[in-house]
Amino acid sequence: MPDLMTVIAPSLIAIVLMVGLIRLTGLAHPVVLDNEKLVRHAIEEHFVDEPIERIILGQDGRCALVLMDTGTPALVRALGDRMVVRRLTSSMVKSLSGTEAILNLKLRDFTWPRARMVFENATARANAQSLIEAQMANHSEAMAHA
Amino acid sequence: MPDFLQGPPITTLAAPFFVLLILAEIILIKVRGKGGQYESKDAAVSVFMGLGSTIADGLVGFISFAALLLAYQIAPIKLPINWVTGAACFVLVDLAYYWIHRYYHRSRWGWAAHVIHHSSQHYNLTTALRQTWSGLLSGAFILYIPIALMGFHPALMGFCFGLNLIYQFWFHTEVIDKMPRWFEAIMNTPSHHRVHHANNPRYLDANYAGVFIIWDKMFGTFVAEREDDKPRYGLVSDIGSFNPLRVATHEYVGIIKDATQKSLTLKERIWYIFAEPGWCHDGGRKSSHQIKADFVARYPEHKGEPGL
Repeated sequence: MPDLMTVIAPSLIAIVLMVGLIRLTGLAHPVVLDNEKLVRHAIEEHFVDEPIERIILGQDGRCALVLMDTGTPALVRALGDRMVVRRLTSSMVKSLSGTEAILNLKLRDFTWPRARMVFENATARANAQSLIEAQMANHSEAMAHA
Repeated sequence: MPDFLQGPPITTLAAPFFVLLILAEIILIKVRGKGGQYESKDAAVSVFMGLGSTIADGLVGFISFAALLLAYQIAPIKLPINWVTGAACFVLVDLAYYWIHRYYHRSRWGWAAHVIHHSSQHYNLTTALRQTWSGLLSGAFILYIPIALMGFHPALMGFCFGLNLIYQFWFHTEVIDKMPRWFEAIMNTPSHHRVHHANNPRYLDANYAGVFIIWDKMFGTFVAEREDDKPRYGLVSDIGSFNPLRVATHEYVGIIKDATQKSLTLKERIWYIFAEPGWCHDGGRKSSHQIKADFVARYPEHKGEPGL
């Protein structure tokens, strides 16, 4: 095995050089979820032919809640310059809690265990929370009857 | 044994060139204003995963090497090391790589190790370095044993495998569009490998080759890149983290969760470990075959096209 330091030190230098150059050249453009078009595009790529009922953008531009016609809500998250999409099924959401304008979700997803969405105010957060809970309850009921 | 087989791994020697080429690619993309995208965290994770892979290989790589050595010792003939056997070994290692790579994509146990390489939503030279930490665990090295049994020395095999990996570095790029036609016909190229990294339905499970694309053409897994269906990179369900530990282990965690669900039969538990990625006992997820079938059902005019 090559001496660990001969592998680790150059790798760390390479990371620093690379990240520095990416920043310097301005190549990275982190996604900000501040318009519905962007979110719609992400949803349409993942859930083809599923009509969207409503899109609620987070105030910090990092998360968006999407209410689908099918009844299952979806969550879109900005990750670097890309987006990650998940359906919020009852089996996916471990818990849902809100404080003031912030909605916290614990997800059964190893690579995305916690989601945080900032709303305009506490009322908007409470409305969204009830919508998710209602849709998840409907989904669970539908699954139980299936 | 020749000196070149006794020094440090050839991939370690090539590492500084990898870094220089990555820096050159970043500058080229900036200058040309096209030909790929970079995200600093994503790129940093890719290089970090490469570092982890090198360390993991250093720690446990001797196990697979010992297995190959054992096979070589019981081989009825021992081939000399020269240009001819070197070239033959290179071709055979590449053929074995094709099947290993196919296994990585067609069995979830192999996929759990290999998914790391596909976990970025970007496709650039750093993606080439985003390698598995658990290659040994996948058991894939077993497919190299027949080559050792044919009498090729494991050190020569290791050298050829290193060359194979070095060849695979350069085509992880969007900077190069197409190579000359004769080259595209025989060799793996950026265009062919973009297809392999794409999650468009028609491109799933295609172009497993390492160096020679002819294996895909021979075994029916070749799909050409199309102008009207630009590759979208990443997984069918992309990961939501830049944490290297989560990147390295997420599919194993998924396997454990799935296989330990209540009220499954033993066969279903085994299937969750070894069946094709996306297999699910209740239809809650889709395998690549089902994704392709859904696509064809939606767009029947594409039925019968390569990959569909």
